[in-house]
Amino acid sequence: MKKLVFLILLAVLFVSLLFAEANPAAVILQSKGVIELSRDGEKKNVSSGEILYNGDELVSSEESIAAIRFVDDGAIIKLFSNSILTIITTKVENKLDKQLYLEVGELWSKVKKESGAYQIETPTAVAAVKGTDFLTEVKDNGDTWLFTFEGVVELKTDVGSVEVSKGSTGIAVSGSAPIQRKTEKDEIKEGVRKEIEQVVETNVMEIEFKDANGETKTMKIYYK
Amino acid sequence: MKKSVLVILMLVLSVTYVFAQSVEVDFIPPEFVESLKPLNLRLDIISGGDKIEEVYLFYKKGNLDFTQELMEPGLGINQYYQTTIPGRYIDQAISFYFRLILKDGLDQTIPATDPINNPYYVPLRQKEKPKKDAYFQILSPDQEYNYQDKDFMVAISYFSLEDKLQDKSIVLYFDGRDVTADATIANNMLVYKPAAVGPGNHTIRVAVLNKDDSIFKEMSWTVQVKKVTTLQKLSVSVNGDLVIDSRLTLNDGDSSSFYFDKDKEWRSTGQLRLWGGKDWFRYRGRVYVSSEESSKRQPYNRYSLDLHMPHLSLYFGDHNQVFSNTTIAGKNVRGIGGELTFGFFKLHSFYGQIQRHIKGTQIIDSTTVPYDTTYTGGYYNRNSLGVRMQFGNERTFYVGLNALKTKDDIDSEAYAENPKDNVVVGLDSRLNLFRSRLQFGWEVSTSLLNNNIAPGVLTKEDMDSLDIDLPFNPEDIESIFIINEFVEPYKPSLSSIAAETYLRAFFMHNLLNFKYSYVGASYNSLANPYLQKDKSGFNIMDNITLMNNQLNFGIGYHAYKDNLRDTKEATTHTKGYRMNAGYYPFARIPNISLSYQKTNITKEVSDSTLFPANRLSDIITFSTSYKFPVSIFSPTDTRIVLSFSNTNTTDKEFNTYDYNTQNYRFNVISEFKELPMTTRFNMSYFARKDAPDTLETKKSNYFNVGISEEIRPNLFKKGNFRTSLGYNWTRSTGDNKYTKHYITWGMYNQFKILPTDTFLTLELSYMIYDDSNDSAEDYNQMRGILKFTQKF
Repeated sequence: MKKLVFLILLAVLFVSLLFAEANPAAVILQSKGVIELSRDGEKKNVSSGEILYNGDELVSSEESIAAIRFVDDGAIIKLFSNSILTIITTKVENKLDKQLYLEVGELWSKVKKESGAYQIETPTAVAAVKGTDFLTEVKDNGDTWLFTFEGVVELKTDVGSVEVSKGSTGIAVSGSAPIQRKTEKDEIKEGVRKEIEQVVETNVMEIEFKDANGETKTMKIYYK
Repeated sequence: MKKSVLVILMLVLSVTYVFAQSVEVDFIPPEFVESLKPLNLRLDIISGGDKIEEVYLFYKKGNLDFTQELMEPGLGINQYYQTTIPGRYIDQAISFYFRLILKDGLDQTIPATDPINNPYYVPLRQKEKPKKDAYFQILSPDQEYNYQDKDFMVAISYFSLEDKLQDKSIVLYFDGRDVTADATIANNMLVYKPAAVGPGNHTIRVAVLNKDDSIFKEMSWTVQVKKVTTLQKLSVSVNGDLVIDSRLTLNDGDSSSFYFDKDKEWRSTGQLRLWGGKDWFRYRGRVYVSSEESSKRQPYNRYSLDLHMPHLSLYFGDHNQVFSNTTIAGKNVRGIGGELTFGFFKLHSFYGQIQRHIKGTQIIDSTTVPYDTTYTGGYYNRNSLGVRMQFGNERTFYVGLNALKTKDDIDSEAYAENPKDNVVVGLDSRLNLFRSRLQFGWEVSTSLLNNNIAPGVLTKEDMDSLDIDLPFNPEDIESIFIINEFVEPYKPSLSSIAAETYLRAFFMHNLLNFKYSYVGASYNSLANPYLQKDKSGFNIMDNITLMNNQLNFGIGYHAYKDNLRDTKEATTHTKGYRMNAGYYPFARIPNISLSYQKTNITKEVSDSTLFPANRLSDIITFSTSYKFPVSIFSPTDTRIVLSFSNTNTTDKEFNTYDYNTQNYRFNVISEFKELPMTTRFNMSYFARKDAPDTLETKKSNYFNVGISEEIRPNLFKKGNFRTSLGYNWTRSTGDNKYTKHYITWGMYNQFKILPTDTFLTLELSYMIYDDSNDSAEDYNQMRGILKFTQKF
């Protein structure tokens, strides 16, 4: 009898898992050019407003950019042209752990403190952070270059690890311990640098909202 | 017991205005200011409003000088004036007072007594840290990115609610329309992309509904899109607004009324402001025209264009120029100016008119032969050229060298007298340490003034005949400065020097301000005519703020004297101190403020025909206010204000006067949250006693109770268009008995002529003033206000 109950429970669990709705992980806020999404073996071109799920893979074409925000508001990323990114997230209590796989290309990340774990894996290294602002570039040969703008990023390979601090570049080559040195001029592509630094105050949008205490707050948004 | 209760009640009362004033106002200072948040100040006029020509606000922070701001007459049932202290100015407590310029040429200040040394003081309150909303996260719009129009979207995460959403549904409204069906709603977020987002306000509301459609959680906010897509295509951005304001007043007064012989009055102003830029270039332009503009007085109109580029700023038209406190400190100059900046070097220069010519009249006395001719009323064009070189920067350390030349254009007006020529040179410096927590500055200037250049420069013959010996020929420097017998000072001395030094230190919740100033009797800067001459002294003030700025204490002392070089027969000394304390809690409990000020003015005389003086005055004020939600028959925000002040002014020299005035005030203001209604209750008592030693004591008391009820319902409302009807009834009894009925019809619309917003306001009002004591004081008044605003 006990065995039967156990089997029924197992079957219910299995069926519920089959029909469980996948949880969104992020949303594309901005897109330019052609961004291709691969999900469950199917491919389609996506643009801003597209909700991304756990396991989604994004491929950006020439002169394409996608800005993505995670559902817990813990990080915002920008995928630059000719890049391939896979998004994997896990909900842990009320936080969202993010594990991204950057196969090739460039990815800028701005991660909030006190949000879930944030990690970028590349063919040669893993970058783990807690609250920072950095750019990860995976060259065609798989070498990983990491530029830190704020905070500290731990860059590790199978052989060793290094902490890449603000204003520094970390370089990870397959089979070697990563190294860190001061970021040199023009190491970051001009187009990528401009996109990161871009703050164009062409339009101002003000949002008034009330917080939990009923106090009115104003949010200003600058957009093109 | 009853007596002690009465005494306690009396002590808990306060004051903001005095009965004896010709214009009666209602003003309750705000409880606090918040850092970087604009402070809107509104001065309500209760009576005598038609005597007002203009109202100015003077405000300052710390030890800085007062900044003057013309207040704008407001729209509405009751007459009021308002202005806003910009948020960028507010980073500490603000002091301010109002100056009412009356049509009869007199002026009146609020507060009435010594407003410069005893202005309203509003402490700084830090914002409480906003609590993070645990239920909704706004993912978009956000300020992290620059959105293309096609990317505008609403993205809301309810990630933390995810586990509580079983059997619940989510609805989304955009501009009041249910767009749930058009939104992508997942189990922890939703995304909605409107087809197009035009400029203007857009409302968004999201709600999680229970099974029975009751609200589980909800959130709403307003999105304001200020600019339009088409403007983005311009190579240089254009922003701006146009405001046209026209007011007409018609009076019908009985024989004793102030309005008896007053004709209709019509005033209009128009202002166009434009600003924008591209990349490294920025511009800002302003045209302000007023119906008050007249060739018989100094200009009301203002025209300005500022251009800003890297290293260079150019100013055309009207601009308030500032070098230093003793040279030029905000005087409007109509002309051209510029600032050139290269690293640590800044060159600031301007040339223009600080006074324009006004045609005078010629008076010929034909009873004498030859005719005796005098000129009156005329003014010359007065032009000023200023150059300032600054080394260093404002954030750390700088030294500035100032030179200012101001001269009347003698050919600009025939019927004016005593054309002047003035040269000022000065040096100033400021040191900022510890991120401006310690600031030390000083300046020194000297001047030469020629009080009458009409006779021209001294020639060698003139010098011989006047027995004047100069080491140079005045004719050689005529183009720089005209020297003749009207030059002041004739010989440079300490009298022709003005100097200031100040220290500002902010450590351990303690803000210390110290300032010493010296202005010699012969120091003159025509570009800074309000600098008081022949006066020196210092003031020191320390303010302590504790408990996150909820509790503050202040103590200060000042001492000044005039007649610095014993050139006059009388010397006046002014000494005084002040103390204040305030408690402004975050929680909903009453706030309290208390201040005490003592001032002693003595006059020593060396001439027996003059009289010495010794006047002692002390002022104590106490006020408390409490704001709380209360339901009268509908929810209200109610504020109770109790205030008291006591002023003693005594003649210590001859005992010819000994005035004591006491003001008590009790106000209750209830603003109904759900009804278009406001109730104001006011009770005030003013007592004055004049008790000199030698004469009989005189007493005068005034007591008034007033209630005002204002209702203002919307008659019609559709979209942004609405019309409203207002009725205000005020009843005052006591020593000043009157009833006032005020009925107003208003029409407001927000629409689009251009792609950006247009606002139109029209108000018509009619007031009946019924004086219960004297019917001859009765009057009726009709007013019309039209205001048009176009945003760009």
